[in-house]
This record gives sequence, C-alpha cells and structure tokens, in this order.
Amino acid sequence: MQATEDFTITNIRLPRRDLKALKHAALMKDQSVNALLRGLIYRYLRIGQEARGGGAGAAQRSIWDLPRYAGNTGEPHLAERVDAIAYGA
Amino acid sequence: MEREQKVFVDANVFIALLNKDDALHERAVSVWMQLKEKESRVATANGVVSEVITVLSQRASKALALQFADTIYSRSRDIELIYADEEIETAALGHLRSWPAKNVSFVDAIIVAIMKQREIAYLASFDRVFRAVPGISVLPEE
Repeated sequence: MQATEDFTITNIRLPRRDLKALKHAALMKDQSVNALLRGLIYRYLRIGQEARGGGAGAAQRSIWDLPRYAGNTGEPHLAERVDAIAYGA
Repeated sequence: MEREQKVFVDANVFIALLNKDDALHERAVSVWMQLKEKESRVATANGVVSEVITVLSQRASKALALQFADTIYSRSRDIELIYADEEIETAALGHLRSWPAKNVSFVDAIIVAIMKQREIAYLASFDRVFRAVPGISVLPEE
C-alpha cells in the first residue's frame, strides 16, 4: 500500500464478541485490527498488495511454497546441528 | 493423523526443507507434502523462527535465511506465528526443570509449553528428545 493512498474512516457495527475475536486474531498475528481488516477486505476483493503498488517483499506468500525456495548449501547436517550452530552447544 | 489437524513445526524441519543438501531434506519435503495434502493448520514460534534464520544465515546463506523470513513475516494465512509471552516462558521453565534429558534447549521447552497451552498434539521435528514427551506425537513417525 502506498503512503500517499487516500484513507478514510468508517464505523462498522458488529457484535462485541466478534470484535473481541478480531482483536485476539490481530494480536496473534502481531497486527493492528485495522491492518487485519484491510488484509481481509483486500483478499475478499481480490486486490493483492502488489497490485495496489506494495513492494514485492510485502506480498503475501504461502508457507507451502517453502520447498520452492530451497537451495544448495554444501552442508549435509544443518538440520541435525541447530543447537550447536545457534547456541554453540 | 486426521485431516486439518494443527501441527507445530520445529526449526530442523524448516532448515531441512530449505537445504537441498541436507541429509534430512527428502524426509522434510515428504512431511511437508503430507501436511499440505491433509490441509493441516501449521504453527510455529518466534524462538523457532529465530533459530532457523540464525542457522541458515550463518551456515547456508543470508539470501536463504531471508527467503524464509519473508515468507514467515508476510502474514501468510497458512501458518500461525506464536509469540512466547511470560505465561508460556514460565510454563517452559517448569518443563525444562522436569525434563530428564540434558540436551534440550529453552526453545525446546517453549515448544512443549505452547503445544500444551494450545492443545496442539502433533509436532513436526527430527529431534528425538520430543518423542519421550507425553501427549506429543512426533512427525515423521519412526
């Protein structure tokens, strides 16, 4: 989303329990309720962040695509040595 | 494992998944495909993410580490990123105290604390220390 985009404010009437659930969901995703709702609305309207002028890094990726990013490292035992590498254990 | 179960993912699975040269790469891809096919809801913790980024950045490449970070922090709907709070850390300390094995990290204990708190039954991990933890089923099965 571009910083120059024209924003407006609106009131949404919804049950208190739904608002609580939204706040909880936003907290879990480390987002504001505003950002969470905007994301939901954009997805509903099928308007991606990239299409709206956002940077490629901001685009939503699927976790299931992780194997596509795999690369060769020449290191056969990284997964077995997480503690040794991260903590020197 | 039934469809749509929630599964917590450990650092070693992410690392094996992203490292084509890893001895565990094929097993990690196999687990990942199974989780996807079963439409599992996956979760991980900020401590796990920190381990993955550190290991990949230090021993593989910063580019690979950033590919992972960008995916995790892109607000992907497919994964829940759980931040350990004081309650989880306190519970983790309890697990660490009572854990008979010596070779466990605090992040391992945090994983157990989160799984107990969120009632997550399945853990995708190649770390054998979790196989002795009651109430946790480790994937892939041996």
